[in-house]
Amino acid sequence: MSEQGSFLTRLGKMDRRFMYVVILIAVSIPLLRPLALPLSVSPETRLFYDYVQSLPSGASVGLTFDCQPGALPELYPQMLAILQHLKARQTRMICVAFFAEGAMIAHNALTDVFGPPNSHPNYGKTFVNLGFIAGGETGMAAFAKSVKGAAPQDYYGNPTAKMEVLSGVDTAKDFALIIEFAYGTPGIPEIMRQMQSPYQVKIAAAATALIATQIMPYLKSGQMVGMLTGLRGAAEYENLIGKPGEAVAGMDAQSVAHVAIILAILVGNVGYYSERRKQKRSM
Amino acid sequence: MSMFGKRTLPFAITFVFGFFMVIDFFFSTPASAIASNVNTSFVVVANFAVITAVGTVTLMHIRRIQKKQEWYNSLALLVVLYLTIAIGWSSPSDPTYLWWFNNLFVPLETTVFCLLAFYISSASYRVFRARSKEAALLLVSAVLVMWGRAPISAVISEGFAAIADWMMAVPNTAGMRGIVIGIGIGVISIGIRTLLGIERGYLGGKVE
Amino acid sequence: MLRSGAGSSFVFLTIFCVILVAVVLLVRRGVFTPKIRRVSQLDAIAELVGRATEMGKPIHFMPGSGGLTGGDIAPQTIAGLSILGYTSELCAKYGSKMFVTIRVAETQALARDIVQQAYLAAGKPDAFDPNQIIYVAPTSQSYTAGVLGLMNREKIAANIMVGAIWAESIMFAEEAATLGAMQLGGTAHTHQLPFMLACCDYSLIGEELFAAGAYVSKDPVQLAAVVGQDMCKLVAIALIIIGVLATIMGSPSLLNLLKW
Repeated sequence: MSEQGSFLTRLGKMDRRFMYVVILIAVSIPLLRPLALPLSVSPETRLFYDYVQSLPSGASVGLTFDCQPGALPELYPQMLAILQHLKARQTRMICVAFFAEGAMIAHNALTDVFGPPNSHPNYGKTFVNLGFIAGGETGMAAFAKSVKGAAPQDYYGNPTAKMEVLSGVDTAKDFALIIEFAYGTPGIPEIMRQMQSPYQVKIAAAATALIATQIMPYLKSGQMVGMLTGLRGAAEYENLIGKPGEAVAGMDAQSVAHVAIILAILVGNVGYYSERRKQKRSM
Repeated sequence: MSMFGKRTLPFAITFVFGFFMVIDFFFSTPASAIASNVNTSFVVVANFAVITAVGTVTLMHIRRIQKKQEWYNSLALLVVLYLTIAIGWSSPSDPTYLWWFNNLFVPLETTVFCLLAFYISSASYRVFRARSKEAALLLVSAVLVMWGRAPISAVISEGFAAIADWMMAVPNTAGMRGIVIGIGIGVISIGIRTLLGIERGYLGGKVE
Repeated sequence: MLRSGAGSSFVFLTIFCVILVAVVLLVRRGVFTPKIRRVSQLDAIAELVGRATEMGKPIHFMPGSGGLTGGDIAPQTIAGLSILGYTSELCAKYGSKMFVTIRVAETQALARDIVQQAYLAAGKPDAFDPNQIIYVAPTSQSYTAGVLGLMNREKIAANIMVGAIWAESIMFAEEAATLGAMQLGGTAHTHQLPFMLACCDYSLIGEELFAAGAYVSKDPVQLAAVVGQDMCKLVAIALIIIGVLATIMGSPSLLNLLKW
């Protein structure tokens, strides 16, 4: 009995490196051998998809790449899925970044969807990468006030004044939708203050799971039209557009990792209660 | 430096520019163009601070190299720092810079961010103990949301995803809204205190 | 001319300003003495510094990883810098070593000045070492990697993270916990609050961070502003109750008023 008690107590005091090995194994196995688990679509993702699906051909959609490379495992699959959907809907895509790294990330995403952007025949006609606009929230305000004023040149140095993709797009209210790839600050609260509230433009968020709890109130109040949350949101979107990719493949690993963490929490509590019982008996 | 330079002048600058920007936010006036330029000047000042910061970092690591305190790490940092500046000097869309960004910067940043998964797992194991009723409630809600958000839960029942969605949409949103409203009022308060010179901690030194 | 959609915000901002200024003026004239509840987290700073002194190990302080631009970032950074001043003075008095890590360049000069002033105020100007204020890196992950390395090399006894903090909070908190450090965390970023509450010994939630500067200074005028802030919250609560009742009765009048 004392041996069993001692074992149970030790369960509550495992070295954290053991946890790291458990997580490593939990994530690796499904990547090597997929489980093909079913994936339902959450209401927020459905709202996002339905809104994009309702956009008419030629509608101007702003995409703000406000993230650093750290967020790419979650946001990059979202970016690719959304760009593919917008391409299929034949909308105009105006990409901009308020994080310095966002401009390069936008270039990479456009390259993966269209091929090298600057030499694409439709670059400047149906899509553009305006590059990085400095200033954070101030930059957002400047962009919302005058798109071409804030970005007189695109990421590749081409002048934007006479670009076909920007014709009729002067301020934020000329966008049919602005999609924010949100990771930190500036992010959704700043876009709400500088674009949604003054110009009443429709906003949708493609965010990391970390900040989803923070921005959920904006969706519930109707200030956003849809939201993708983390890798799961990307996987759901990939399924909705009929192009399962990296995100769907990663969901099995995420599922097993969640299960591993839940089991670790339960094991930890078993150890904790065993320790408490031992202390009560010794008193 | 006299009290005028240490206290009075900073307060005066803070009040004038702060008041001007607040008025410009609510009213469109002929001075709106000035407000736009003022904003831009703040951004320029902030970005010039990066130059002094790079200088400080350089001096600090040169000292480390001279004292032979893990000099190899400091040397690597300085080489990569100045190489990145040199490569990206011409244009951020330069193919060499993009190669450098995609093959050095992105993998390193992504790797460090992915450490989050390991830290969260060890933190969850260590912290989620049902020590009290509140801790037990936290534990149960965390487990329900984690389980509901994992696709594997749908194999047992679709209801778990619905429970997780409800918990995110109702109690989480309600709690977040309350905290956000309080924070918003706190932000206004500290803004007014700073504008009026009541809040002085950021200037350092004792309060008179 | 009033901008479209800004009317109601301007009216409520004016009401809040009037309340705050009125309370401050009443306190200045001695009509009443402001009292706020004990904030045990801020009282614990002395405990953290004392513990580090006894153990002979340094303290790590980060005044958030935000700068001084941005609507909700700057107030958090200002609050973090206020606490830095207080903590620096305690460190100077007790003779503890403290590392201040900075992520945003413009905060470094301010932080250095604040710490130097604190050592001067404590009567130990020679003990100030400018190398203790370290600008690490501007991006989140580079900063995180640098600080984790510093924590492990220096074997910190206490970790104080107050200000605008993002995903790095859980990593710092967990690493410091592994080193056996005592921790105080505080931020207004709601997505990081759960990690801080779970991992730190003491946490400042949201507006407690903004009251910190007033609380540690014990200045009646600053405390008056905090009392005024709480009165503004009563106005917000009243609006919520009126709004809920109006919505239940099917009246959109308050909603339309707020859209003005």
